[in-house]
Amino acid sequence: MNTKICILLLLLFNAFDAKAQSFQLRQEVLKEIAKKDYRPTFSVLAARLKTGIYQDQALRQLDTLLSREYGDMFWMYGCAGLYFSCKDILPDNYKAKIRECWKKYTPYRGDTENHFLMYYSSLYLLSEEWPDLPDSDWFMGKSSKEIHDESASYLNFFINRTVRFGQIEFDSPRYMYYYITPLLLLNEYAQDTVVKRRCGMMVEFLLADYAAKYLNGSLCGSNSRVSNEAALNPRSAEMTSYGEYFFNDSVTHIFPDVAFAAMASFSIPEIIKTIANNRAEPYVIEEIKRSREMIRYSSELNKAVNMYSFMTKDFALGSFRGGLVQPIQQRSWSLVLNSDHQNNIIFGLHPFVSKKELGMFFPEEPSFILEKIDAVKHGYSSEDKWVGGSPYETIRQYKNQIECRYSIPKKERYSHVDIFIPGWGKFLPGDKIHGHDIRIQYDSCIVTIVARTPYELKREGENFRLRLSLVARKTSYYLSCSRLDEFNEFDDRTAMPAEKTYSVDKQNGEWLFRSKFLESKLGSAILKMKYGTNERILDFTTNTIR
Amino acid sequence: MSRKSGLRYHVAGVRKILFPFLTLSFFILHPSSLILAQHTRLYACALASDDPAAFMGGSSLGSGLWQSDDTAKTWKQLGWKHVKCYSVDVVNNSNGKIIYQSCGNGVLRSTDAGVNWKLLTDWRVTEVMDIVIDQQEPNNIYIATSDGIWKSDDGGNTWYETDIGIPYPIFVSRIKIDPVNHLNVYAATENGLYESKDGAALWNKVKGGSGAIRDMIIGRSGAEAWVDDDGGCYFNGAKHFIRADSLGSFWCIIKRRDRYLAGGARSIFASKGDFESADLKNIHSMTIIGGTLFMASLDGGVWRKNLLDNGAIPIQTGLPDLQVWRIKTVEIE
Repeated sequence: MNTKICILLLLLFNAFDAKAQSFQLRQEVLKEIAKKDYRPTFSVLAARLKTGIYQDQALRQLDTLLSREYGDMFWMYGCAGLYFSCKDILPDNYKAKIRECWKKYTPYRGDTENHFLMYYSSLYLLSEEWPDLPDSDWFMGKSSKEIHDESASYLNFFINRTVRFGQIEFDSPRYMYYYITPLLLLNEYAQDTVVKRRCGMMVEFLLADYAAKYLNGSLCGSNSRVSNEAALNPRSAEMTSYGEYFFNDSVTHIFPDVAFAAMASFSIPEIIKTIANNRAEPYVIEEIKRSREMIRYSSELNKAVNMYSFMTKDFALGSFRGGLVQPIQQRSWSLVLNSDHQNNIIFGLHPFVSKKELGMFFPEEPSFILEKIDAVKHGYSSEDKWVGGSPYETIRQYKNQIECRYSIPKKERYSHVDIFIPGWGKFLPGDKIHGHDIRIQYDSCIVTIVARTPYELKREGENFRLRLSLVARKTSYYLSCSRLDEFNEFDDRTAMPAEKTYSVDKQNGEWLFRSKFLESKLGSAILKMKYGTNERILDFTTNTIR
Repeated sequence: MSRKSGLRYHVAGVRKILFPFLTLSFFILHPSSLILAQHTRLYACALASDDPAAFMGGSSLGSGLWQSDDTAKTWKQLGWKHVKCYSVDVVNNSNGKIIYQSCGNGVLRSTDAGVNWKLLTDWRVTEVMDIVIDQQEPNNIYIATSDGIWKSDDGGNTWYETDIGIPYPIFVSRIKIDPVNHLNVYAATENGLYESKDGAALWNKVKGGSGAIRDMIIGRSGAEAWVDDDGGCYFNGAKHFIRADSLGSFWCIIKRRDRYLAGGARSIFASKGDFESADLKNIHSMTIIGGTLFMASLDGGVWRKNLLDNGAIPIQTGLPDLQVWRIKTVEIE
C-alpha cells in the first residue's frame, strides 16, 4: 500500500515538475526575446509587455507599429497575436487604437495557403472579439457576423483539405511557423469550442509531421520552401526555434515569433516529443503532400507530391519524385547529417530559371516576373543558386540510397547540375573497383556519390560545389549514406535494384502518412500517432482525440 | 434674379449675334451644358509600387485604383491602398458612382464614386484578373480569375463559378461582352480564346484562338483580333501581322480606325507598320482619348503618345512609381 502511494506521489510530483519546467521554459524564452535588441515586431513587443521588460518602450514602439499602415496578413496575424496575448495588460486606449486599425487599414490577403491562414485566423478571432459591429466598422465593409462566417468557412476548408489530402506549403523550415502560430492563437483564444479543439488538433497534426522528420534541430527531407540561408545551414531556419521549444525544452536558436507559442497554454503531447527524439531504429516515412496551385501550364491545380524519407539517428535522407511543385524555393531532396557542425546537409539541383515556372504559380505576367524576380527573390536567376526545383529532374530513393536523373533540353538557360557538399568532412580514397566514386566521411557516416557524367569539384568558401555536366543532354548521380560500421564498399553503387525502388503508386498511393510513428489513410481525416504500445488518434471527423 | 438666369439671358443675346456658331456657343456658355457635358475619366489599376520588396507581393502602399479627370495630368487614389488592383468597370448610367474593382482580394464595389468600398466576394474568389459589367443588365457581372470564371446576377452580392467547357488550367486574363449581343461573352484564357453564347453558362473555343491569349477585341461579328503570350497578334480570321518570339509577349490590343495596336513586353507595334515604338517596354494596357494613346506600364506609370504624330515621344503622365496593370476610360456626365 505504502509503495503504491509513493509511486502515485512520485508520478504527481513528476507531472507537477514537468508543468513547472514548461512554465520556466516559457518565461525564459519570453525574457530572452524581450531583452534582446530584436526588430520591434508585434511578437517582440508582446514579449516585452508580458514580461515587463522595457514595457514603456514597448508601448511607444506599438504606437509606431499601429500608426504605420502595413498592408498584409503578416501585419494582421502579429497584431491579433499581440492583442490577445496581452489583452489582460494592454491599456484600453491601445485596444481602441488596434480596433481603429482594423477599420481603416486595407490589408492584402495574399496568394498562398499560409497567407490565407494568417488572414482568416486573425479575422476569425477579432470578429469574435468585436462580435456585433456593422459593416462600416470593418475595413472590407462586411459585418462582424459576415466576417466570422467567412473565416470559419475558410478554416474548415483548410483543415479538411490538409488532413484529408495533404498540406500545400509542406515541410517548410521557413514557413511552417506561419501555420503553427495562427493555429495556436485560435486554439488559445477562439470562443467556439469546436474551432478551438480542431485548431489544437491541427497544431498537433503539423507538429507530429514535423517531429517524424526532426533530427537535432533540423527539419529533414524535401521541402516545399526553404530560404537561401537555411538551405545550406538547416538549423538557421525559423522552425528550429519551434523544434527546440516543443521537442527539446530548451531553445538555443531564438526566433522572436516563438513568443506567441510561449504565451499560449498549448503543451505538446508526450508522444509527439518522443517521436521527435527517438531514433533508436531507422524507419521509413511515406507521405503525400500537395503542390502549390498551378494556375497555368498544368492540368491539375494541386498535384499530389509523393514524399519518402529515411530517418536514422545519424542521418536522414528524404525526397519527392522530382519535378516542379513549388516556385523558387523548392528543395527536392536532401541528406541531413546529425552533427553539431554547421552546413550539415547535402543536396542537389538543376538550376532551372524560367518564366514558365513563375507563370505556373503567380498571376502576374510571367516574362515580366522573370525580368524582375531577382529584386525580390535574390539569386533566382543565378546559375549557382542553391534552391529551386526543375521539371527535368526525376528522383527515386530506397532507404539510404538515392538516384537523381536529369534530361535537360538545349533551350534551357543552364545545362548543369550542382550538388552541395559541406567542407567539414574528410574525403576518402576510392577503392579499386569504384575509383571514381567520391567518398566522404562526416563524423560517424560515410557518404558515397557516384557521378555518371564528367564533373568538377570546386571549393566555395568552406564548402564544395560538385558540378555535373551533361552528356547527350543528360546526367545522373547516385548517393548513399551509411554508418561507418555498416558501410560495405562492395555494395553495388551504380543502380538500385528495381525491386527495392519504392513505388509510391503501389505502396503509398492511398496513404497520407505511413511510418512506424504516423499513419493516416488518404481522405480519412484520421491521424494515428504510435509509439510502442502508446497511441494518440486525432479524429477530425468527430473532432476528438483518443 | 439669380446668377443662373442672368447667364441664360446673356446666352440669348449671343444667339442673336452669332447665329452660325449657335451650337458651339450654346455648349460653351449655357450653365446646364456644364452639368450635362460628358468628360472622359481615366482609371488606372496599380498592382504594386516599384519598390523591389513590393514586387509580386502587392501589399505596397499606393497599389489600388487611381482616377484622373483631366486626361492623366493629376491622379487621386480611390479606396483601398494595399490591394493588387487588376481591373475596373463602372455602371454606365450611374454617372461614375457604381464602380467595381477586381483585385487580389476579390471584387470590391463602391456605390458612392469610390468613397466607400465593400468586398463582395469570399475566400473562394481570389486573384480577379478582370471584371466586366453587362451594361444592358447591370446586375450581371462577370469576373475572370486565375482559377476560372465567376458570375453574379445580383449586382455582386452573390457569385457562382461558370466555366463549363474550358479545360484546366482556367487562368483567365480578360473577359469581355459583345457590344451587340450582351449574352455573348468572351474569355482570354491560358488555353485559348473562348466564347459563350448564353451569358457564360457554356463555353466553346473560338476557331484559331489557341495559345495563352492575353487580350482581344470584340467587334460586331465577335472576336476580331487577339494577342498571345508567345508574341502573336491575330486579326481578321486569325491571320497574324506580327509573329516573332524575339518580340516577347503581347499583353494588350486596341483598335483605332483601320489599324490595330498591340503592346507588350518589348514594345508597341501597329498592324499597318506606320506606328512603332520601342521606347516603351512592358505595356500592359492601352486606351485612346481623341488622338492620344494612353498606356499602362508595368515598369511604372501611365504614358501618353500623340497618335497623329508618329515621331512623338511617349511622355510619362503620372503614377511613375507604380506598376500599372490596366488603364480604362469611362464617360462621365
